Amino acid sequence: MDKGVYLASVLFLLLGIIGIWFSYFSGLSETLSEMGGISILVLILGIMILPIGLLKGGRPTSKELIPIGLTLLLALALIGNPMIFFNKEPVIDETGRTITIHLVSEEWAFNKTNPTIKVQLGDRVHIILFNNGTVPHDFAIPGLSEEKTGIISPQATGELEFIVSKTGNFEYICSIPGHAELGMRGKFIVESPQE
Amino acid sequence: MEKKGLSRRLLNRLADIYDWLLNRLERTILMGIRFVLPKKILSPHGFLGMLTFVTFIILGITGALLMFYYKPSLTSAYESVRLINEDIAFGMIIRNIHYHASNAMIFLAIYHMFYQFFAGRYKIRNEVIWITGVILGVLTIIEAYTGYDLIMNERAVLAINIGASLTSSIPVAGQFLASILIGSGFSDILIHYYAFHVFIIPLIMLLLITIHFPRNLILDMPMIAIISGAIIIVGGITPVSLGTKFDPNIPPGITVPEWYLTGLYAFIRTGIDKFIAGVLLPTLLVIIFLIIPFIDRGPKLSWAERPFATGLGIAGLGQIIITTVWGFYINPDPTLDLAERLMIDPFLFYGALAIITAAAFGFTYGYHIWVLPKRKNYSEKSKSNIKQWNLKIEGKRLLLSIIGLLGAQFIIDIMGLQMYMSGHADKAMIWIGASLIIFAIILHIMRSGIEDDKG
Repeated sequence: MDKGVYLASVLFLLLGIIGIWFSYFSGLSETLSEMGGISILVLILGIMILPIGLLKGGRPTSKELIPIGLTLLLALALIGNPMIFFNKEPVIDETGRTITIHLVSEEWAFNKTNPTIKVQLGDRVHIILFNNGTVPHDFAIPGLSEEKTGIISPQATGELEFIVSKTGNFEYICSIPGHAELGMRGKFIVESPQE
Repeated sequence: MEKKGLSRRLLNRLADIYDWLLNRLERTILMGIRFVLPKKILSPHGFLGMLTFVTFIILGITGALLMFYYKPSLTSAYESVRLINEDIAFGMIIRNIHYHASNAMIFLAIYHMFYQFFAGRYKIRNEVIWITGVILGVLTIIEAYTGYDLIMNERAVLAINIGASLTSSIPVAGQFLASILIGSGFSDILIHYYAFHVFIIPLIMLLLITIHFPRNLILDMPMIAIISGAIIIVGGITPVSLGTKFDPNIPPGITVPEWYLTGLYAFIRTGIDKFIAGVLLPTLLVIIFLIIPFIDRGPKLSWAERPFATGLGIAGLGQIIITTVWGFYINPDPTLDLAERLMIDPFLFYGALAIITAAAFGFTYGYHIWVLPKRKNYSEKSKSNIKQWNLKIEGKRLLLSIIGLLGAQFIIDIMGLQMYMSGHADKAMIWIGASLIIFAIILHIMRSGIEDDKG
């Protein structure tokens, strides 16, 4: 039996834990979360071969860990540093524009066709939603705004106002369970301001 | 008496058929390979290649099942994958296993390669096995790349665009190669990739595998069960997503490639020439791995006594980690322009790679010069120092532990079934995977019990 099993399992445990931290808890970048699956696989593999290394393989001495251990620590430092220290808190320049959007909700669409809404980063968006349907509805943009209009009864009006803080493609929906699936969803696109 | 005679005769008949079959199989290639079923725990490093091959088989089976419902056309590809995910019975589970097994296969292949590298196994007349192995590794990544492009979501289109532009950036032959890869336009891409993914590349891989296989194959059933279980558990924890459907009319959101290609993506995003970053550097890496058996020709096998190869290996490991993780990172600042957010500072990036290479060689040679000589009797001492705890389970306790584990497995299976029935196919997979891992433990206890009985 070789001592490498123990070494590999410790390596996998570390890579798995650090990978999971980078993916889900570091908050450094949204795309890092795509690394979660492989990190969990590496962690599980590390857990599975740890008993084999411990019980049968023997443990490497601390000096044998010098080349690989120090190099990998340095590698992690070299990745972590630029991401953590050069990561500035974004400052959103408000464009000063307020975009008012009138929507009418019915069963099962907004404004009959679910129009695509395009705004720019920093715009103040003012949604006025009139519920022309026969059941309650609301309006939400998951991933962009935490707030919703609140549930609006039939023939009533609700409002939502927020400053757009992210670019990307989002979806506006009626967040009452089942309604979005029935068709109450449309595209909400945020572009970065043109210079 | 009459009855016993009948069963005896039937058994004899069966034994005759078995002997007959064995005799005829003697003439086939199958008998040239020796399958070893280990009777005790072995270091998994000795059969990582076999584990990689097992995931290849899992991928073949699940992939064949997916072929029943997948439609390789631009307009219906995404919808057919959605159908598999949402409506087809067990479709979600099969696709989930297929995806995570592909990740596991690449990971195990890299793990396998690095173990063989550090253990110096490419010496001792294994050069052909090593070279076919490196080619197989590259093909595995290309196979996985053509696979995840078939979904036709935003991530797939990003990968297709990068693949196409890299191929056409090759001087002289680029346009010709691109026409093989993607055909005459967007509508040809999927059917081309599909042909590569389900037939051409797997066929080449199978042919190479027949050369790559050594004569002794270790089939360690508990470890195979553990790997399968791990794949299924990960599938349960992070079920594979459909992604956002690609729509040519709206600008795509921000996506990154799969983890085995983010390294390449990071190189491309540093802004240097596309051909150098995306084609030349990766090819250089592959060539270094291909020719290493002809550079490192000394008789020493241990990593500690081959400082150059070890330094190279550790530098490679560090570079893979840095480029892979960095490739996932996209500046989250939404106020910047997209091109600016994607940009990786080349000085920081190549600086980090240079530092890690220097450090890897520095630490390795430092160990070789200063630490190793003080440990003269190192190898004999360390061998005698290996602590081996023997957890012996015997007699009644063996029986009780197997019954207990079977009971636990039964309960876990019921939990999984309940999850599946209540519509959580993905969460059910965590229980199925756990059940497989308990199965691995039972297998191990049984084989060690049988061994103890003999001894």
